[in-house]
This record gives sequence, C-alpha cells and structure tokens, in this order.
Amino acid sequence: MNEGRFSRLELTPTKEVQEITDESIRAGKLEAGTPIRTADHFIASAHAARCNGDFERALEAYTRALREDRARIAAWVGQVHVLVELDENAEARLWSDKALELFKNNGELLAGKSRACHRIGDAQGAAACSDASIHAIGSSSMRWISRGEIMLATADKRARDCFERALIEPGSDWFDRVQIARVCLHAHKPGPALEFAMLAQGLAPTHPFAWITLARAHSALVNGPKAEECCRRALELNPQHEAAKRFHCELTNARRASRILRRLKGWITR
Amino acid sequence: MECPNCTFNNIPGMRGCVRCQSRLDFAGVEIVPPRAKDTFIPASIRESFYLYRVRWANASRKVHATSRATFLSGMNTRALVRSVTVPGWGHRYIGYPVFGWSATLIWIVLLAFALYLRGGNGGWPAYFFVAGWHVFVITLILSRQLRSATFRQRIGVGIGINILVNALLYIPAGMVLNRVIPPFFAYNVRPSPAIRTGDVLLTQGPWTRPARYLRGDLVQYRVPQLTIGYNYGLAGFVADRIVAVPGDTFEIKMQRDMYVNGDLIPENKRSLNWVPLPNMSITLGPDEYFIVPSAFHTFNGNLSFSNVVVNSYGKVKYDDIVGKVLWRIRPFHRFGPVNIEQSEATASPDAQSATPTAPETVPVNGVPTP
Repeated sequence: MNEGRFSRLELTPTKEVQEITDESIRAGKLEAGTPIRTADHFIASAHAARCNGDFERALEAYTRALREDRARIAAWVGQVHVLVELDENAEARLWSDKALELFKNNGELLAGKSRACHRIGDAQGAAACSDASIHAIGSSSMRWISRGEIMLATADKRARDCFERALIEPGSDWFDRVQIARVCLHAHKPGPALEFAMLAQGLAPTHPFAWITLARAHSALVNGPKAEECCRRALELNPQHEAAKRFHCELTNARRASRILRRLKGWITR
Repeated sequence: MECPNCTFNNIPGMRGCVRCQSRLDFAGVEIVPPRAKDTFIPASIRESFYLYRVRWANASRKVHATSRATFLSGMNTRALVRSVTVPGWGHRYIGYPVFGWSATLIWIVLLAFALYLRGGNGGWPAYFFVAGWHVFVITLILSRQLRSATFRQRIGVGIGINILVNALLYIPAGMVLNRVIPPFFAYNVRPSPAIRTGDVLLTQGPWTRPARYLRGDLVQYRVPQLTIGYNYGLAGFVADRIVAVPGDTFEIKMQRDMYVNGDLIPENKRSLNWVPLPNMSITLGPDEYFIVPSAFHTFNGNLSFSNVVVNSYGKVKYDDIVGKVLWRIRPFHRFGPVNIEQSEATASPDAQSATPTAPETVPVNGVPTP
C-alpha cells in the first residue's frame, strides 16, 4: 500500500471531527457552522467527484466514508469501481474479494469484481462474477454495464442489449451513459461510445465530464476539431476542471505531433 | 441488528448475518484499498498516449477490415489449406486435376533435388526454388481474390506468404532434418578410398546419435585448430574410425603397431589413412574416444605426429563426435553406403610408401601458403 497517496486522509481524527457523528447530529448537539462530516456526506462528495471525473478524490472520499461507517456497502462498491476506472485492476480485484468476504454475494461488488477480472484478462472469472451478480438479489444499472463490458469483447449485439437493459433500470441517469461510453472507449469501440456520450451530454449538458467523454469519443473517431470544441465547452463550464484541462493538453500535443509528422511527410514526398 | 447486505434483522450481539452470512462486526476491518505502485513514467504522460493508442487501434482495424474485404471474401479456405500443405492439392480440390498433379510433381522433383544438393553450394538456390514454387502455387489459389487488389497489395501478399511459408514450413523442417541426418561436406580431408574431398555424406545428428560408440565406427567429429611453430592443422569436421572407447588403454609400439587393452588391432581396423605415430600409451577417460588423426589436413610442411598432436587430435570427447557416417549422397557415381573396408588396401604402410606423402600446399583464403 502506498501511504503517500493517503497522507491527507486524517485517519487519526481530531477530537472535533470525532464528535461529529450521525448520533450527534440527531441529538442536535452541534453548534452552528460546524462542518458535517458523516458517512453520507463523504459518499455524496465521492459520488460528486466521480461524476466530475476526479477518481483519485472520489477514492479518497469513499475511504473517509468507510472510516465513519464501515458497513456502508456503497463506499466499498465505489472504491472497487473507482479502482477499475483508475486502471488498477489487480488491486480492484483484491479489494472486491475483501469486500465480498464481508458482504457475501453482494451484486454490486460482484459486478465490480467482474469488471476487474475482465480488464485483467481473466475471462472465465469475469463471466462467473457477472452471472453471480445478475442472479444476486436486487438489480442495478452497473451490473448490466459490467455484463455489457464483458460481452463487448465477444458479441457486440448482446453487449448493446446489456447496455440498453442498464439504461431502463430505475435510477439510471446521465452518468450511466457516461460509464457505458467509457467502457466502449476502453474496448476501442468509438462508434457506440460516441452514441452513448451524446446521450449523456443531451441529458446533462452542464456537466463538464459528459463533454469530456464526448470529446474523447470524437477524438477516438479521429475527429479532432469536434473533440476540441467539446473540450472547450467543458472548460467553459468549469475552467478548473482537471480532466478537461488534461485532455485539452493531450489534444494540443497530438495536433502538434501530427503537424510535425505531416511536415516530415511533405519533405520526404516532395 | 440489521444486516447491511440483506437488511435482515438479526439478534443483537451476532457477529454474522444468519441469512446471508455477511459480517456484522466491522471492528478492525481495513478500509484503505491497496494501490498500484507508482511507475517510472507518471500517469499523466501515460494517459497522454491515449490518443495515439486509439489511433493505432483504429488504423489496425481499418487494415484488417480492408484486407478482409479484399482477400477473404469468397476465399476457398479449404483449398488454400490444402495448397499450403502440399502444392497442387488445392488445385485438385477445386477442380484442376492436371495442373494440380503437375504442380505436386514439380514440387516433389524440386524438393528431391534440394535434398540431394543439401550441404553444398547448390543447396540454398535449390531450397529457394522449392519454396518459391510452393508460394507461386499458393498465390494461384488466391488469384481470384488478388484480381481486385492493387499492385502494392499483390506484392504485400506475395512477401507475406513467402515469409509465412518459410518461417512455418521450410525453416522448421530444415532444422529438424539437420538434427536428424545432417549433411557432412568433406573438405580438406586426406583422400582415401572411403572419403574424398568433395564428398557429401549423411551422418547421424544430435537427435539420432547413439549414447555410446563402438570400436570401428566411422564417425564425423570436430577437430580444433592446432598450431605448432609454422605448422598448423585446420579446425573443422573430419571423419575417421574410432579405435578405442572410454576406459580402454591404447598403445603404439614400434611406431606402427596399435594395441587396445593389450590386443593388437588388425591393420584394416585402424584408420582410413596411414600416418606415422610416436610410441605412446594412453588410458582413456570416461568420456573419451581415441581416433587416429589420419583424415585432417596440415598446412605448411610436415606436422610431425608428436605426442602433443596425437593427444590434441586423437582423444575426442563424446560431445565433439557429431554421429556415425551413414550414407554418401554425392558425387552421384559414388552414391551409396560408405564402405570403410575400402581403406584396407591403403591402411597398411606397405601399400603406401614408408614415409608419408609430401603434404599439399592448400591455399588459405585464396593465398597459397609457402
């Protein structure tokens, strides 16, 4: 474990922070202006960070939420999915195994594990976990998205069915479309990725991350000007958006590199 | 006490859920997930390659789709596989029996010719003829698909098939053949009725050689380069007869009579040529054979067969012996098994002059030695 990444977690809480718990809020013991730091608050901030594309901060917030309440399955599930998004798939699988020891046959955790297994290359494990997650109690869009991700590697048609099934789940929102678009981009399927990114952008035109996903889909389809336009829109909405700034930088670098390559090609073929 | 996983109400104090076996007591549970170690390349730089990775994937998919549309639509895969296996078989399969049989026959003739020329200067050109004919017949199977291809695509297909056929068929087959029956091109050996310079012999290879050799076996073995003053012997491979095996005591008396374990070796079992040897007595180690060094050439004068020479050339390790000589394939008029009994006539010192013939001056790298 890398301690440096979590140096600002405040895992040894101060007296003030320790006193502010759900019980103290309910009992009305808090003074006015005291920051509320409960598990719910951290989970909400983690979800906000995740929807903003800031996965490092989301992971940090999920961990803080667990520090407040270790029985929060949403935080465990969020950690696993965020680890997958950060491309730390082996760690995600390890952590999902650990969480599954605590919460047996939890469908969301199984879905997260199936994504991690799939990205590692363990197709058999991924399929088994996905099957188990579908059979588990309850239903959610993430289970179908993870199933679609596995199907995307083998059968496009069935993957689309899974994605569409995910979108008709109750509670499905623009972020699920973004997730699907990111899954398609990861599987090098820019066409469907563009489709779902456009859906997400249509549902949430004020979210920079939806614009960034759309920009990534455009750039994957080698449509540089549109990608830059989407990136500019995201930066207009939030000029400090980290993912947008980084992607804008990538686009600029790619444009410069392609210009140099074109010039070299021109010199050679002159 | 409600289970966070299945919302079942358990009795207070329970450590696990009765219904789903989930844990209810979370004290001491680790909450910080493990993270991958930071790599040498920062994540920002790694991510910046995203676009290039996607472009590369797109380009490769485009090439794949184009090649599939160009070459694989309507391709008779079974005929292609048959043609790759045996040239002409695919043509027979799609209804061209005359051409198919002709192609197979030509290939067999070329293959036999290449095998016959193996180990000599003509081996490589013959090999290229065989492989080239094979590739040509395969491209004929693809002619319908190549009709709509551009010139560059045709060139690419030709080169690709050539590389594949050579890498997957001919080179592995040649490697196996060289380990089973490698050819031995006799070069710079002392001429004897059994072996002459220019002969090509088939010998046992690393996969077929015996675990131990017997006295009298004609073997191909490796000789090191030896320099004594201005005289030297060339490194390389020669063939000669084993006279003593591991554990034997080999003696030379009267500079001509050879004894193994006290028994006199008959003159027709000694070596292919007669050479003057010093009186000596050698006990061979567990991995050593004794071969009278009569076949290799020396340059620049008379390399006297002193104890040093005999010890260096005569005692041969098992690993330095390539294998037993099996068959002579060239020259054609001497095609057949190597008859080592032919050397009987010349093995005797009486048959030759008592002194060895004056060594020939053989050019080294085209420059005659003095």
